[in-house]
Amino acid sequence: MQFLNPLFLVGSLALIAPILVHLVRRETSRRVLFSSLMFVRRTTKASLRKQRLRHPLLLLLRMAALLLLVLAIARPLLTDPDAVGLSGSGGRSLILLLDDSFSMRFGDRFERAQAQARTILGGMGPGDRVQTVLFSDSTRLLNRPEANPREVGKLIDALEPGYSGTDYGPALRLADQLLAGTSQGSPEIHWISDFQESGWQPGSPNVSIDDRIELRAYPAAQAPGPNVSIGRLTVEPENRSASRVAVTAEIRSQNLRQALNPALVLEINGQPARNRTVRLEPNDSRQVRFESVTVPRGESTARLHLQFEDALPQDNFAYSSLSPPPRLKTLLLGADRRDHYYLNRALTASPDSSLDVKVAEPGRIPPSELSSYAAVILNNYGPVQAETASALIRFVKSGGGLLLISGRQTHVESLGGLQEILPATLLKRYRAAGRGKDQRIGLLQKRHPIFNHFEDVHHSYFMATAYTDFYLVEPLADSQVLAALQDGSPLLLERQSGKGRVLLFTSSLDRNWNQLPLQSVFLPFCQEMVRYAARFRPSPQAYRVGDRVALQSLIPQWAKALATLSTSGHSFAHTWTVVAPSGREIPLEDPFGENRSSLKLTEPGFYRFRVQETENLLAANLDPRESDLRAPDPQQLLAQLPRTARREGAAPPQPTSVDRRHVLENRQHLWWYLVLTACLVLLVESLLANRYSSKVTD
Amino acid sequence: MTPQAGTVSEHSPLRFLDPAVLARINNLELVARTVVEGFISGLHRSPYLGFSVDFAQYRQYIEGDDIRQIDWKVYARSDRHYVKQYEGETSTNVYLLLDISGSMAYGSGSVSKMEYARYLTASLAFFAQRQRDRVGLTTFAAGLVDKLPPRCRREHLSSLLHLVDKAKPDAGTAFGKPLQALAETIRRRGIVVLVSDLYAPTGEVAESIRQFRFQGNDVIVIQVLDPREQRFDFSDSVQMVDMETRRKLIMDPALARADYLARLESHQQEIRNLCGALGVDFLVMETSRPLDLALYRYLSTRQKSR
Repeated sequence: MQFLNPLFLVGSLALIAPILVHLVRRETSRRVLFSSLMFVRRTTKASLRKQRLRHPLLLLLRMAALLLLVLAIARPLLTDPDAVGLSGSGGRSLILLLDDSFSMRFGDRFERAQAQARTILGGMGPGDRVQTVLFSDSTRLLNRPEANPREVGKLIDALEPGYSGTDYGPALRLADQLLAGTSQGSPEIHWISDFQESGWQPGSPNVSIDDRIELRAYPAAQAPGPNVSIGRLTVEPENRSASRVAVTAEIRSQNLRQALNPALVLEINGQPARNRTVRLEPNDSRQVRFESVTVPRGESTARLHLQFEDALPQDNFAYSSLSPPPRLKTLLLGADRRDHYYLNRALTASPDSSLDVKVAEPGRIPPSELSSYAAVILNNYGPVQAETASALIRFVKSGGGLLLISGRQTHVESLGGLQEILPATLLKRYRAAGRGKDQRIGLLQKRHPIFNHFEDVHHSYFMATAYTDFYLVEPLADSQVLAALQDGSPLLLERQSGKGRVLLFTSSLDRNWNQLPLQSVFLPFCQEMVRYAARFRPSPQAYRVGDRVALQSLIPQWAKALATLSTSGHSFAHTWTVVAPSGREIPLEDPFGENRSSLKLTEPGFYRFRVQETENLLAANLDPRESDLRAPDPQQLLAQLPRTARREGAAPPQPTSVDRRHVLENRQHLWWYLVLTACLVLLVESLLANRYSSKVTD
Repeated sequence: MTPQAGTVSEHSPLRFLDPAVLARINNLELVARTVVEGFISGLHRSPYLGFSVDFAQYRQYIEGDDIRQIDWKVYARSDRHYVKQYEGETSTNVYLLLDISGSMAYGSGSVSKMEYARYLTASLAFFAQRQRDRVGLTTFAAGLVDKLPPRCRREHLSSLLHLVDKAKPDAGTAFGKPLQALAETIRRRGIVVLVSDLYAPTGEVAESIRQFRFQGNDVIVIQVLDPREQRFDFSDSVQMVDMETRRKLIMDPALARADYLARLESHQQEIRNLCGALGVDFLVMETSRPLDLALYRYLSTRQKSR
């Protein structure tokens, strides 16, 4: 058995601590003032020592717990013959680091890489062991340490490059970690890649390779050839119903020998809708805007094809979903419709507003209907009936958003049971006694999602507004003040309640109590408040290959399909089908359960989610960085890689990928049992100590 | 007849207020009044009736008498000044000796020994003043700290209570010199009430008591102890610091407890024997107990001395 962190074994010196505590306890005894010691005789040292050793079992338990914890921190490493085969043979320990990102599809790069791998395998001698690591934007182990190069060669021959981006950092770290436990033979990393410059991701953790490891680079690309690609496809609705859309695309060229005029074809639902050409210089980037396109109702798709023959044809396509964005159903309740004049206009004014607002008077909406809304606004609402209050509380706790706007009709007593979920307790109304007594905003949480869209100049509009009337409130401990007035009185508060969110605006959203409706920030402010309360985040029109899509986040888009399911009483398991762009069916047994909460997109194109007769689409595009084929000199890259002098058996850095964790944790899992045992020992120690203590007290 | 401590039941609604409750009253005079009023009201229900406040006779006013004592109704009828005399106005001198040594500051509960002794002294003074007795006070620790000669006037009680109130625990205890100095000033026999924890060598305590007794005084010795001093129930090893001498001792109370209790009991027994031999009332008051017993003892002793 080895230890990953042998230095931490020094911590075993802590075992002396309980003994020292017992020995020096005389000096650290509790100090007690007593009236007179004239009747107290000095206890002999011998008897004190005898007393200290009264609980040797406790001492042993404490020492055992400490020892177990020290061993756990030192991370014992089991010597699994399979897992550590890289170091157990006495020969070379090889890691084949093979790039299978999308850029490796360019020309014959991947075939060259496979050939290079076979060459390396052919050079293996007796006692050598090899392990293959595939990498793109994620990292995977292809095989466990293998001495037979033919077996590994077969696995490599069967590979195909994927469509994902590139990230060198995690791959190199994994290779370094796999060789970290190598104690015999010479460790080697054979890195086969096109060495794209964009493969060094900015967020990638720092990489350093053990200086004992021999690192060799094998470029799979010769001189990069010409390539054109679509960098970005943007589809923006021109009106609220999104029946007409404006399409913009970014077209790039690289390494062209001469200027070109390739054709661009925009297809809507598979039918050509717009055609045009774009002039591209040898290394160029152009924005192309198409004429507005009429989009049929319902699910629609857009595909842009850049018609040019190059060695990387897949990046000549871009995809987008044209489904109208889901609307946020909002219920605006208040006693007098005239109070909603400004607020309602703000929520519905802009053509691309995602809010679908229904205005109603109290009592007109049955409480059971609340669940069909994503947000409810109580604007200058009068007395809240008990039934309405309990329905609103249920609505919020199950995930709805509630926005309470104060006003003349709002009274402390009239809130009833609703107070239970509000972020603050309403105290009394503040009225500015005269000019100069009004209040302005003194605090604004500018980084809060409601305000972070606003520029600094917009913040000044908030600050400039005078508030003559508002409610003085007492915020609850679990609430958050998002905006406050100069005297510290909260103006906007937030509180989480169950799965939902409640916002309280202590002034009004009309011109009676302030002049905020006359400010330009009023409209976006009102909309952001509602969106935030309802946790509304519109899904993008297109995802990127490699993204993990949280299926829960798609529910608003798939509301129709889900409604079909819930009415038909079918379970998801047999009715839900996901078809990848290549036509491959992806099993989703429990799409909204905990086991399958996300889906990784691995291909460009349209993913189709089918529920009985309903079909919803999701577009996935290639990472545009993969089309950038510029590559530095691999040897220069190797020279710049930091190397670390590491002690034998020293702990490797924290693993970052699932595969690495799996491999390493299998060998290191003993620490977990040690911690568990230490906890059990400490539990027994506590019980025993309590028992002794209660005996002494008695 | 000597009244017994338990004449008024502890469960009676007239029972005296708990010291812990008294500790919440900031005004010492109010504490004393509360205790004494409670004691008297309890006493009226008991078979032990008729004490000082009963009217005895009229006496002609002489210069120096308090003019508030003049009975103006009699003056209206007879055109002469008469003052009322009561049964209890037999001018007994009461000498209250309050130990304010450092050990008296100890308290394991809500009331320290010092606070309890203050209440006790104040109650006795108040009670004596009601009886028209002349009350004096001496506070002592390692030496004589304060001394107030016996007087009967109302203003005197205020001074006395003020003195009791401001008494702060001092360093050590010495019974010899301070009490000898006091004994030398006593010209008239009376009742000497010693309130102390008696944490001093037995011989020293005995000498002081004997001195007062030989002067013809009736003596009541009230030993004030904290419940924890009587149980010594500390758990685990502790470093004990003597509140008087600041001496430190690391010890295991579980081991030292038996020896401590035996030595305390032996000390108390010696004092009890001494008091028995000298005809002195010896009373151990635990700070958790009501104050009535001390007042009974005082009343009883006063009856004897009249």
